[in-house]
Order: sequence, then C-alpha cells, then structure tokens
Amino acid sequence: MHTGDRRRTFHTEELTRVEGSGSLDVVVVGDEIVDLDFRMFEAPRFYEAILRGRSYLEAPDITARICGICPVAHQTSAANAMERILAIDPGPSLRDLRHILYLAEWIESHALHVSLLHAPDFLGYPSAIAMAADFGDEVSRALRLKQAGNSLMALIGGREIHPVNPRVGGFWKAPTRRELHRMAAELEWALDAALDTVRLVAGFSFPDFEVGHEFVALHSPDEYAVLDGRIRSSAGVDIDAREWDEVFVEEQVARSNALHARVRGRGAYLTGPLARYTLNGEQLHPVARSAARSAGLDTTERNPFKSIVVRSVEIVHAVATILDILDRFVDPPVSYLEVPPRAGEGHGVSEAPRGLLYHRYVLDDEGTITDARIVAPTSQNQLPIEQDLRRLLPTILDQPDHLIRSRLEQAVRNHDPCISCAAHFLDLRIDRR
Amino acid sequence: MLVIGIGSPDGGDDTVGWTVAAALEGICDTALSTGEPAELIERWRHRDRVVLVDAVRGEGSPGEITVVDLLSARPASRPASSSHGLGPIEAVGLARAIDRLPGSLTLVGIEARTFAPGTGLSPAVERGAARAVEVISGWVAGGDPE
Repeated sequence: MHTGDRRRTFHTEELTRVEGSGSLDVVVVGDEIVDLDFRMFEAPRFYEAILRGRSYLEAPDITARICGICPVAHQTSAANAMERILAIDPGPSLRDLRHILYLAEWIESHALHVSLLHAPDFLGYPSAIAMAADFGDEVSRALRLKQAGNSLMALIGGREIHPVNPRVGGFWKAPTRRELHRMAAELEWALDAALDTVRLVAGFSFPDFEVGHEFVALHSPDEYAVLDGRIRSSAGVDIDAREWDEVFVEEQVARSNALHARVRGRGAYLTGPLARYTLNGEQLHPVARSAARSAGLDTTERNPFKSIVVRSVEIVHAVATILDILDRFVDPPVSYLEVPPRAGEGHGVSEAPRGLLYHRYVLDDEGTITDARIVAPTSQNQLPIEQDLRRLLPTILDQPDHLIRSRLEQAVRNHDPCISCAAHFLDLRIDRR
Repeated sequence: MLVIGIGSPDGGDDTVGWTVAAALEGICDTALSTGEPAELIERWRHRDRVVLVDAVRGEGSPGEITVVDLLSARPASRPASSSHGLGPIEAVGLARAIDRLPGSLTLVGIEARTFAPGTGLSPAVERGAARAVEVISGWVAGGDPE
C-alpha cells in the first residue's frame, strides 16, 4: 500500500499492561518518522533523597518500596552494596536463601508478564480478561505459578508483598530446611507448568525482526548470574560494579522523568532476558537449556519479540534451580551477620526480572547514608526501546493504523518496562562563577 | 468476612487500604495486597464475603467513601489509577472468566488526594479511613453491605 505524504499520528495516552505510567507518541509523514517519543510520566520518585540521612540498615526496607513487583531486586542490590562496604560475607546457606527468594521474584514477575501482560498481544486479545474467556486453563496455570512464587516470598521474605525479612548481612529470621521443603511438591508442579508455558509461547508467531543492541548482563563463573557478578557486555565490557561510572553514563531527557543510560562513547545498550540469555545461556539449568532448544531459541537471541520465550525459559530455570537448592540446603548457623558500621562507598548489582539493577551508597563512619544512587533496568532500556520502535515502524507502515498501534505497544511490552522503578530526577547543581 | 486492604507501604494516600485493614484486625479476617490480580484471586477464591478497601481517584473530594458491589457493577478501570499493569477491577474480570469469584465482593473506595511517596495519609483521607472502619465494622456486626 502506498502511504503517500499522508500525516499519521499514533498516540497512546496511557500504555496499558506495563508497570507504571507511560505514553507513546509517533508522527509519520509518508514513509518518514517525524517524531517518536516513548515517555515516562509517573510521579518522580525521591527515594535517593529519602535515603540520605538514614541508617545503612534501612536501605533494603526503603528501596523495597520503590516497586511492588521487584522489591527483592532492590533489597539485594542495596544489601550487596552495604556488605561490600562492611566486608560481610553471609556464607553459602544465607546466600542460598537469597537465591531462592530472588528466583521466587522472577517467577512472580515473569509469570505475570508472560501470561497476563504479553501473551494477549500474540493471541490477538485486547486484554488478559478477554484472553481468559478462551484460555481459562492457561490463565489459571499462570495464576497458580505466580502464587508459587508468592508463597516462597511469604516464607522467606516474611510476607508476600514488600518483604520485610531480608536485611544487610542476611535475614532477621531464617526459615528452616523443614519449612522450605513444604514447598517442594508445589514446586514440582510448577516445573511442569513452566515447561508447558514454554511450549505454549514457543508456538506463537513472531515477526522477522532483529536488533543489534549491545547486550549488558551480570556474569558469574558459577551460575546463571542473578544475585551478583561482574558486569559484562556483548561488546567486551567486563567490569566490577565499582567501575560503573567509568563505562556507563546517565543523561536527563527533557520529555521524560527517567534518566537515559548509555555506554560511554558508544550509546544505547539493552539489559534483561535477551542479554542474560545471550551472554550466559550456557549456564542455565540443564532442564531450562533443553526447553530453550526445544522452543527453537538460538544461542544468541536478538529478536525482542521472542523475549516472551526467554522469560518462560527463565521461569523453568528459576523453579529447577530452587528445587536443586532445596536438595542441598542446610540451616545456616546464624540468620544474619553484623559488624560495626564504617565509612565507605559501596556498589551493589543484581539481575532484576527486567535487567541489571545498580545501587551505590556512601556511608559516614556511623553508617549513615550520605549519598545514594539507583539505576533501574527500565531507565537503561528506554533508549533501546525507542530504537526498536524506530526500526520496526518502517516495516509495518503498510498496515492499518490500529494494527500499527497494537504492534508498537507490543514492541514496548517486549521489554516489560517498569516505569515505577525508572522514574527519578537528576540532582542538578549549577556552579556559577 | 475477609477485608483486603489494597495499596502500598509508602505511596501517600495509597496506603489507606492497608491502614483500614490494619485497624480491622481482630474484628474480622484481614489481608494486605498490592491489588495484583493473582494475589487477590488467591486470597478471595474460597471466601464467602469479601470487602476490598482501596484508594480511588474519582470525582469526589478527598476522604469521601464510595461503596460498589463489584459482582453486579462493572466499573471501568483507568490504567494510571493503579501503580501496576493490572489492578483489582481486572482481577474481578479475570476471576469471573475462570470462575473464581467469592460469594460477595464489595469495594470500599476512599477518595485519595496524593500518591507522593513518603508523605503519609492526608488528614481528610485519614478521616475517611476512620469512617470506612466504622462502616465495615457495622457490616461485620450484621449489617448488609448493600
């Protein structure tokens, strides 16, 4: 279809099925994209300011409140940063508990996004409710799968939402091996459910579309990195978290409350499932690796529409890994380690469901936070999301407007943006001489 | 009766659902929720009478209470009125589609003024929370939500 010089505007007032509030504005004249804005307009979050003047022990609790979907990610990155300042190593059993808790958050977040937020796009429904009328069993399965994550969250985190049990150095109270093993039967069911989910989404139809973003993810020599690790990229970055500012930079953009992150001297980069899978896929649990192969994923996956398959594979990895940890778990000798506070600067990273989450804190010698910085995955992914849209749009301009609009929204949802986490203000200082 | 307070721990008037649920502890069964559908459906699926308490953004003044029978009314949800992609209204739709609604389901909406983090409840909404506790206590004592 020849589009001529007709001016077409695609405006989505409030993007649905994403976390937080965002909008998308696209103006096309003929075949030329005149304007494309993916905006975040959630009320700016002042957590970095709230943290200043508070005790280092409060950082996990305060930052958990940033997001109802990924509180454990914030708690973990905060605890990692503090434990580096204080030189605390909680040891293998407490680390195992953290790993289970974090993977439980992945199960919750991914099950929700895969089946209720993203699947309707592929199955041609306007909402999860409309989809549920025809796919009731699949929706019921997703809800139960998510509930398995919630139950683990309640057991280890102290409650299902905004967990209160994690702390710097470990947990206020550690659940016992016996308590954890009560979840085993439900997790065995969850593994089958996760594999069924992979089979379902692998059968979806995916547009022929690939992106060339630099992928950035944590890497650990021992496991598919979740809790910590070095920051690596597909273009050769390999740094410790404390070197963050040497490689990455954030810039305020007038139209958005979120900061845009870039690799210095190169530009946009992508974090999240595609990056993790491509950089670390060989370290997935063998059951998940096998599911990925059966689903037709390549060892490098650059089609963002297939992120739904990667997320489903990561649910398999999460459940299978938790079952393995349950087998070896021994009760920790103490539930947390504590040392006297001291001054220092600490950097903590972890892999939130949506991607790399970086925290940095400066403490004085009484353990009071004097400076804090949080870089959430969605502010890192905002630029590549816009680039995806700019590359995708010319390939679909011959379609009717309503199909273009829904395809663009689907392309945003490919990255499961969490706008609640991403929005914060740049602290601007002007030096007038 | 199960009262589910919907909200977040640090979102200004968004905490009002949790405040009301906490005040009703010992008077009836209570639970806290972010309003995320899977969590809500799991909590209410085997219950007979369920009351949701949530901050709302409608056309009333701060603290004003609105009572809605969610099994008969089908209010439209505005995406931005929930801090998450799906909220309690979507939970009702999903539960209806997969046959997991409770016997009765009533929303007590309290008109909010601000959702800014770290600000606590605004005074009018705090008064609204106290009225909501009175109203729901009356239902527990034998009154009818409808």
